[in-house]
Amino acid sequence: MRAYPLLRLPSGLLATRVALRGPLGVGRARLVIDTGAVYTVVHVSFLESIGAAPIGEVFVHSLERTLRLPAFTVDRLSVFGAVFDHYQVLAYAPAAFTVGVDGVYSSVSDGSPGFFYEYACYSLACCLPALPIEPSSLASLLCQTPQ
Amino acid sequence: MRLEEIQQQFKDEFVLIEVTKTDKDDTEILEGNILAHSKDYEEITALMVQSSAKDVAIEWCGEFDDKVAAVI
Repeated sequence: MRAYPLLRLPSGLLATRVALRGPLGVGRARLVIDTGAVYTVVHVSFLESIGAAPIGEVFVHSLERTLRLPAFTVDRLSVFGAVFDHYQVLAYAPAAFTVGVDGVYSSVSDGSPGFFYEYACYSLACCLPALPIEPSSLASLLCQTPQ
Repeated sequence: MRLEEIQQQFKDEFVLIEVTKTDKDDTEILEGNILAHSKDYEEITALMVQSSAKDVAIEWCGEFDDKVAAVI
Protein backbone atom coordinates (compact mmCIF):
# COMPACT_ATOMS: atom_id res chain seq x y z
CA MET A 1 0.00 0.00 0.00
CA ARG A 2 1.12 3.51 -0.77
CA ALA A 3 -0.13 6.84 0.54
CA TYR A 4 -0.45 9.78 -1.82
CA PRO A 5 -1.17 13.29 -0.56
CA LEU A 6 -4.43 14.89 -1.55
CA LEU A 7 -5.44 18.47 -1.04
CA ARG A 8 -8.96 18.77 0.31
CA LEU A 9 -10.47 22.06 -0.79
CA PRO A 10 -12.97 23.84 1.48
CA SER A 11 -15.71 22.92 -1.00
CA GLY A 12 -14.94 19.24 -0.34
CA LEU A 13 -13.25 18.61 -3.67
CA LEU A 14 -10.03 16.61 -3.64
CA ALA A 15 -7.04 17.68 -5.70
CA THR A 16 -3.68 16.16 -6.52
CA ARG A 17 -0.55 17.12 -8.40
CA VAL A 18 -0.17 15.62 -11.87
CA ALA A 19 2.97 15.63 -14.02
CA LEU A 20 2.44 16.27 -17.74
CA ARG A 21 5.33 15.50 -20.05
CA GLY A 22 5.86 16.82 -23.56
CA PRO A 23 8.73 17.35 -25.97
CA LEU A 24 9.67 20.66 -24.34
CA GLY A 25 9.55 19.61 -20.71
CA VAL A 26 7.37 18.85 -17.71
CA GLY A 27 4.43 20.80 -16.33
CA ARG A 28 3.11 19.96 -12.89
CA ALA A 29 -0.52 20.94 -12.58
CA ARG A 30 -2.78 20.68 -9.54
CA LEU A 31 -6.01 19.07 -10.69
CA VAL A 32 -9.32 18.37 -8.99
CA ILE A 33 -10.09 14.65 -9.10
CA ASP A 34 -13.33 13.91 -10.91
CA THR A 35 -14.21 10.22 -11.19
CA GLY A 36 -17.19 11.10 -13.39
CA ALA A 37 -15.50 13.43 -15.87
CA VAL A 38 -15.02 12.11 -19.38
CA TYR A 39 -12.02 14.31 -20.07
CA THR A 40 -9.07 15.67 -18.21
CA VAL A 41 -8.98 19.43 -18.65
CA VAL A 42 -5.88 21.54 -17.99
CA HIS A 43 -5.14 25.24 -18.27
CA VAL A 44 -3.83 25.76 -21.78
CA SER A 45 -0.58 27.32 -20.57
CA PHE A 46 0.63 23.98 -19.18
CA LEU A 47 0.12 22.34 -22.57
CA GLU A 48 1.84 25.17 -24.40
CA SER A 49 4.80 25.15 -22.06
CA ILE A 50 5.50 21.44 -22.57
CA GLY A 51 4.90 21.55 -26.32
CA ALA A 52 1.97 19.15 -26.28
CA ALA A 53 0.72 18.10 -29.69
CA PRO A 54 -2.67 19.49 -30.81
CA ILE A 55 -4.96 16.79 -32.19
CA GLY A 56 -8.19 18.65 -32.90
CA GLU A 57 -11.21 19.86 -30.99
CA VAL A 58 -13.84 18.30 -28.77
CA PHE A 59 -17.35 19.58 -28.04
CA VAL A 60 -18.04 19.69 -24.32
CA HIS A 61 -21.58 20.20 -23.06
CA SER A 62 -21.75 22.14 -19.81
CA LEU A 63 -24.84 23.09 -17.83
CA GLU A 64 -25.33 26.32 -19.74
CA ARG A 65 -23.64 25.95 -23.10
CA THR A 66 -21.56 23.88 -25.43
CA LEU A 67 -17.85 24.58 -25.54
CA ARG A 68 -15.48 23.69 -28.32
CA LEU A 69 -12.19 22.93 -26.62
CA PRO A 70 -8.85 22.17 -28.26
CA ALA A 71 -7.54 18.67 -27.58
CA PHE A 72 -3.89 17.77 -27.10
CA THR A 73 -1.87 14.64 -26.54
CA VAL A 74 0.80 14.73 -23.88
CA ASP A 75 3.65 12.27 -24.12
CA ARG A 76 3.10 11.06 -20.59
CA LEU A 77 0.91 11.77 -17.57
CA SER A 78 1.96 10.68 -14.08
CA VAL A 79 -0.47 10.49 -11.18
CA PHE A 80 -0.68 8.34 -8.02
CA GLY A 81 2.42 6.40 -9.07
CA ALA A 82 0.81 5.41 -12.35
CA VAL A 83 2.11 6.48 -15.76
CA PHE A 84 -0.03 6.88 -18.87
CA ASP A 85 1.55 7.40 -22.28
CA HIS A 86 0.00 9.42 -25.11
CA TYR A 87 -2.66 10.81 -22.82
CA GLN A 88 -5.40 13.04 -24.25
CA VAL A 89 -6.08 16.33 -22.49
CA LEU A 90 -8.43 19.19 -23.28
CA ALA A 91 -7.20 22.77 -22.98
CA TYR A 92 -9.14 25.46 -21.22
CA ALA A 93 -8.22 28.85 -19.84
CA PRO A 94 -11.14 29.64 -17.63
CA ALA A 95 -11.90 31.82 -14.71
CA ALA A 96 -14.04 28.88 -13.62
CA PHE A 97 -11.31 26.87 -11.92
CA THR A 98 -11.10 27.72 -8.29
CA VAL A 99 -7.99 29.56 -7.12
CA GLY A 100 -5.02 27.22 -6.85
CA VAL A 101 -6.48 24.62 -9.19
CA ASP A 102 -5.15 24.23 -12.73
CA GLY A 103 -7.80 21.87 -14.08
CA VAL A 104 -9.77 18.67 -13.64
CA TYR A 105 -8.40 15.13 -13.68
CA SER A 106 -10.66 12.47 -15.13
CA SER A 107 -9.85 9.07 -13.72
CA VAL A 108 -11.98 7.41 -16.40
CA SER A 109 -10.02 8.72 -19.38
CA ASP A 110 -6.61 7.22 -18.80
CA GLY A 111 -6.95 4.59 -21.50
CA SER A 112 -5.94 1.68 -19.31
CA PRO A 113 -9.03 -0.61 -19.67
CA GLY A 114 -10.70 0.50 -16.46
CA PHE A 115 -7.83 -0.47 -14.26
CA PHE A 116 -7.15 2.90 -12.74
CA TYR A 117 -10.82 3.80 -12.54
CA GLU A 118 -11.67 0.73 -10.49
CA TYR A 119 -8.61 1.31 -8.47
CA ALA A 120 -9.45 4.92 -7.74
CA CYS A 121 -13.03 4.10 -6.82
CA TYR A 122 -11.91 1.43 -4.43
CA SER A 123 -9.42 3.72 -2.78
CA LEU A 124 -11.73 6.68 -2.47
CA ALA A 125 -14.62 4.59 -1.15
CA CYS A 126 -12.48 2.87 1.41
CA CYS A 127 -10.32 5.71 2.56
CA LEU A 128 -12.35 8.91 2.51
CA PRO A 129 -14.11 8.38 5.83
CA ALA A 130 -10.75 8.30 7.55
CA LEU A 131 -9.51 11.53 6.01
CA PRO A 132 -9.22 14.71 8.07
CA ILE A 133 -12.14 17.07 7.46
CA GLU A 134 -10.45 20.37 8.21
CA PRO A 135 -10.52 22.72 5.21
CA SER A 136 -7.29 22.97 3.26
CA SER A 137 -5.71 20.16 5.21
CA LEU A 138 -3.50 17.70 3.44
CA ALA A 139 -5.09 14.32 3.49
CA SER A 140 -3.80 10.99 2.38
CA LEU A 141 -5.32 8.59 -0.04
CA LEU A 142 -4.19 5.02 0.37
CA CYS A 143 -3.52 3.31 -2.90
CA GLN A 144 -1.77 0.23 -4.08
CA THR A 145 0.97 0.95 -6.52
CA PRO A 146 -0.08 -0.24 -9.98
CA GLN A 147 1.87 -3.26 -11.20
CA MET B 1 14.13 26.22 -1.81
CA ARG B 2 11.78 23.78 -0.13
CA LEU B 3 8.10 24.01 -1.05
CA GLU B 4 7.12 24.80 2.53
CA GLU B 5 9.51 27.77 2.51
CA ILE B 6 8.06 29.00 -0.78
CA GLN B 7 4.54 28.82 0.63
CA GLN B 8 5.55 30.84 3.68
CA GLN B 9 7.52 33.46 1.78
CA PHE B 10 4.93 34.25 -0.89
CA LYS B 11 1.72 34.31 1.08
CA ASP B 12 -1.41 34.84 -1.04
CA GLU B 13 0.51 34.79 -4.30
CA PHE B 14 0.92 32.45 -7.24
CA VAL B 15 4.50 31.29 -7.63
CA LEU B 16 6.06 29.96 -10.82
CA ILE B 17 8.52 27.30 -9.78
CA GLU B 18 11.31 25.54 -11.64
CA VAL B 19 11.02 22.15 -10.01
CA THR B 20 14.35 20.69 -8.86
CA LYS B 21 13.23 17.84 -6.64
CA THR B 22 10.11 15.68 -6.48
CA ASP B 23 8.98 12.63 -4.58
CA LYS B 24 9.90 9.22 -5.95
CA ASP B 25 6.65 9.02 -7.90
CA ASP B 26 7.63 12.20 -9.73
CA THR B 27 4.47 14.13 -8.94
CA GLU B 28 4.64 15.96 -5.60
CA ILE B 29 7.01 18.92 -5.54
CA LEU B 30 9.61 18.97 -2.79
CA GLU B 31 12.02 21.72 -3.89
CA GLY B 32 12.35 24.32 -6.61
CA ASN B 33 13.67 27.66 -7.78
CA ILE B 34 11.45 30.74 -7.85
CA LEU B 35 11.00 32.06 -11.39
CA ALA B 36 8.23 34.58 -10.73
CA HIS B 37 5.48 35.44 -8.29
CA SER B 38 2.30 37.44 -8.62
CA LYS B 39 -1.24 37.78 -7.31
CA ASP B 40 -2.45 37.39 -10.90
CA TYR B 41 -2.78 33.78 -12.08
CA GLU B 42 -2.95 34.68 -15.75
CA GLU B 43 0.25 36.69 -15.46
CA ILE B 44 2.00 33.66 -14.02
CA THR B 45 0.64 31.29 -16.66
CA ALA B 46 1.86 33.65 -19.39
CA LEU B 47 5.30 33.71 -17.84
CA MET B 48 5.28 29.92 -17.63
CA VAL B 49 4.75 29.65 -21.38
CA GLN B 50 7.62 32.07 -22.00
CA SER B 51 9.95 30.34 -19.54
CA SER B 52 12.84 28.23 -20.78
CA ALA B 53 12.72 26.06 -17.67
CA LYS B 54 12.15 22.37 -18.46
CA ASP B 55 10.19 21.43 -15.35
CA VAL B 56 7.67 23.93 -14.05
CA ALA B 57 4.74 24.23 -11.71
CA ILE B 58 2.47 26.91 -10.32
CA GLU B 59 1.91 26.94 -6.59
CA TRP B 60 -0.86 28.96 -4.91
CA CYS B 61 0.42 30.08 -1.52
CA GLY B 62 -2.83 31.17 0.06
CA GLU B 63 -6.12 29.87 1.32
CA PHE B 64 -8.58 28.17 -1.00
CA ASP B 65 -11.92 29.78 -1.75
CA ASP B 66 -14.70 27.84 -0.03
CA LYS B 67 -17.44 29.23 -2.29
CA VAL B 68 -16.14 28.12 -5.67
CA ALA B 69 -16.26 24.72 -7.34
CA ALA B 70 -14.47 23.66 -10.50
CA VAL B 71 -17.06 23.64 -13.25
CA ILE B 72 -16.86 23.99 -17.01
